[in-house]
Amino acid sequence: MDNFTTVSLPREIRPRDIAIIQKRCLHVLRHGDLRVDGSAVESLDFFGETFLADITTAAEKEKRRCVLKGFSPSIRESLSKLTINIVPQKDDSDKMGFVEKLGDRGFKVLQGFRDFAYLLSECAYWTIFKPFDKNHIPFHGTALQLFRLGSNACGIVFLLVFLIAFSLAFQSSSMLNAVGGGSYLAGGLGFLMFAEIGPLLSSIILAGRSGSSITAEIASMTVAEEIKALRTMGIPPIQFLVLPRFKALSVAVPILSFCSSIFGCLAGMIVADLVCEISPYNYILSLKDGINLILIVKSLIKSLVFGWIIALVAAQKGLNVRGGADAVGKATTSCVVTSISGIIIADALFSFIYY
Amino acid sequence: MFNLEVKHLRAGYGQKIILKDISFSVQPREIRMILGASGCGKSTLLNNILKLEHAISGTLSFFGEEIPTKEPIPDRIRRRTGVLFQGGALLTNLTVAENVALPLRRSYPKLAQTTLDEIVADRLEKVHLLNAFYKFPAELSGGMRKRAALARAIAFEPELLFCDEPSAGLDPVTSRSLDELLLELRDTLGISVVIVSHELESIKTITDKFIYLQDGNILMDGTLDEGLHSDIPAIHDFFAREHQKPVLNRRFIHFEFED
Repeated sequence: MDNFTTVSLPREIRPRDIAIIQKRCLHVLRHGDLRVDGSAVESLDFFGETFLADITTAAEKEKRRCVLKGFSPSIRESLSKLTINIVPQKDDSDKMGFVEKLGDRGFKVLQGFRDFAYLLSECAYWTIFKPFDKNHIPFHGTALQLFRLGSNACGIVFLLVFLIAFSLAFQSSSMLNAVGGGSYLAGGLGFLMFAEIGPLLSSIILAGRSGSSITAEIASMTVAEEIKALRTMGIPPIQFLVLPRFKALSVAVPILSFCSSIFGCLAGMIVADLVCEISPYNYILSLKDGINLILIVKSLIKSLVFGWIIALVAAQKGLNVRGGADAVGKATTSCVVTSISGIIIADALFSFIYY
Repeated sequence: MFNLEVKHLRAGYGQKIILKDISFSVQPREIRMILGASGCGKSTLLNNILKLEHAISGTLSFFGEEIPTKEPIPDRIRRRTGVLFQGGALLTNLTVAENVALPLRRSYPKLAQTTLDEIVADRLEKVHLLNAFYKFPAELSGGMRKRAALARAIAFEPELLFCDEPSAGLDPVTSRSLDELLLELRDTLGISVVIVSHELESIKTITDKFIYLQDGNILMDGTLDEGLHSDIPAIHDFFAREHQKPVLNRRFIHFEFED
């Protein structure tokens, strides 16, 4: 007695049905031999032929028999001439092991630091020595970048910082009122805005808005060979593209950070008036307890460094892009993640140094 | 004296050697094609000649002056060369006129705007694109963009022009007009042109001499006529638009039939 299980094929084998039939056939082959009954089949297209070839190959691998029964002579003739492409094997010779991957990742991180340091030194050099170096290029563009990266971001930065400061003041005022410390709201909020929230929040917003736009622009230029074209014309991309953006963000971030801190304090003033019944005049007088000139200078220095991080990380990601449109997207994402992480790490370092 | 002389150039990426030993020269007013199958290193060769990548060894001489392998091309030589990139590589935020003026402004920052505009207009006239003076690259067709890029490449009226796949992505008529433009520029400005190309029609129309790259070496260095009558299989196949039959990578399936 034979060990065959028969699977009958429908009149028409449609691509969407193949998966179900194939699953049944493979199941049969795991337990015994297979007989495919094609007496109902009228015609067989490429999908049907490939399906039968796959089943036959699977039977060979399982060391089972797969016999075809009832197929019309024309189908039998066409199947007897059938050849199948051999799918090439994936070349895994370059595939890295865990340790190699770890080393590669570490190497790339170090390369990132090196590129960042190189860009920083180039930008610092050309910012200071541009008028004295005969190799400087006669192009500007800082004002335009200041407008695009800084002025155009004012609205969103001020609005978001204002709203966050408002909710922060609102929540802390209820707690302060409970312990009778409502009068400390102004000083505490003022200090927090200038020392932390203002610089940090405005930099993070700018990293998402302006940093990503820098990366996308430079990366698109890299992909479109515009950077190569600049180099063949003797125009260094760092001086032409990175320097104006570096200078613009060096100015824009401290200004935006300072102004957004003031907006945060204004939000606190509204909350103080509504919740703590502190008049705006008294609020402003109390602000002096938390804010002083040194704090403002420290805040501006911090913001300046955050601006450098945004500009240089964005430029580095844009210039190092390789590939096509998908690489531009990846570089932009990477820019936002790296610059926000960099800003937060730098902020932690500043907290350690300052306080 | 040659406008360009490449001697024993060896180049690659990291451990991978793409060009093993490349030597050729380009005479004044010569149109020299760099040919070869896709991935044979034509663009790598061009990038190394333009110093966009640094070769491992070998020497490069422009107009009789040797440039050390690791040194950039000095400005005095750069002004005597121009480059046309495959996609045009025009800066999209600048108008066509500003793009053409870019290399001029780089080298002559004190040039008056009116003078600069007149030079730009002249270059655009040469490529029959004066009407696009104030247009942005995004407003131009593929062929017009190539011509605008060509105008930028000839901003200094160079003696040596490099073109990377000038006909790529263009329809046959536009491609033909670009070829005629290159011939016209060769005749009017007396420039030498080094072209990386695949387009057979274009190659047959404008080539004086060519090099054919294979496996990192020059398989043939000769005139178009020599190439057309070559017995070397790869060269013959290239000009005859034939390809070697691929090795069959298929297998028969032995079906078992039951009556």
